[in-house]
Amino acid sequence: MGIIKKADIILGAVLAVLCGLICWAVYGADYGTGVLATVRVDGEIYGTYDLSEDRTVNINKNGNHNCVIIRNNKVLMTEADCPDKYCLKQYKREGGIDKNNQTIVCLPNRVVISISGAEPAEEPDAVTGAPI
Amino acid sequence: MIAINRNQHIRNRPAYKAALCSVLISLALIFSYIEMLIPFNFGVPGIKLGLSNLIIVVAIYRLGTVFALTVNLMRIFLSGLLFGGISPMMYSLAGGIVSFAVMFILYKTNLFSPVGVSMAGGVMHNAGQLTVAALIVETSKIYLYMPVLLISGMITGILLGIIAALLLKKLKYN
Repeated sequence: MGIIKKADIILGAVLAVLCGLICWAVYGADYGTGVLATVRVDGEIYGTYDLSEDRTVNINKNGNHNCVIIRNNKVLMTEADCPDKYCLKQYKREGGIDKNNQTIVCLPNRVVISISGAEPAEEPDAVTGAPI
Repeated sequence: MIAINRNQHIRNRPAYKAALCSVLISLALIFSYIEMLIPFNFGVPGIKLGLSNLIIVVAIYRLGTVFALTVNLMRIFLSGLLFGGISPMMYSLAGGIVSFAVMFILYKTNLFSPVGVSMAGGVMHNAGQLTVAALIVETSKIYLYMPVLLISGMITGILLGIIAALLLKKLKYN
């Protein structure tokens, strides 16, 4: 086409490989089904809930409201008063999250739900996003 | 951009630069608005076309650093006030500054075409945004979105880069 230079293609290839590596690091590992759901608000643990018990968790903090249900060993965000409502769509098709290190994030309300094994979820490595 | 080449002295006047700057900022704001009208939602915050990045790429190539940076910062500030709010503004500010820095460096190397510059800009915009999001939510778990955002940034960056390259060919004068 004459628009794209050789350096562009090299840069594109490098970026694509980088994306592939990050994909592999983040999604590639088999995390297995988790046991606990940890709800964090502002980075602090709000509560830890067993996936085997069906329940509804209302999260009211900082004047914001989120509602999470645990059903059939899966966690799903069902209500949020945030403006963008992205959190309600996350994993809706799958019926919720149940794998280790899966997360649902409500950015405006700073609510993070994550799945873990027997212990409350560890923070994944800050650089690669891979679990420690 | 309409000015003819021999009117060089007009284009050096501050008033001309201020007017051109305003027109470009307005155009970027219109692009932001158009983007809001297009339902382009994959359930991951941050994936969008980034049409206004087109303006920034063209500005970097044709109008120089200070000009492009002014347009970029004003666009982020105004679209934050008009459409988003304070926290979306902070995300786009982080993304905007990181992507601008990277695009500027790549442009200065003279090795890349607008397509490569815009591609890197798209990727870095999303990376910067995600880093701010991780700082605000105080969890690094948000980096799980990184692959999706990097790939989408790359694709939209390439598409906009091609448009920018075609535009730059058509625009004879700056």
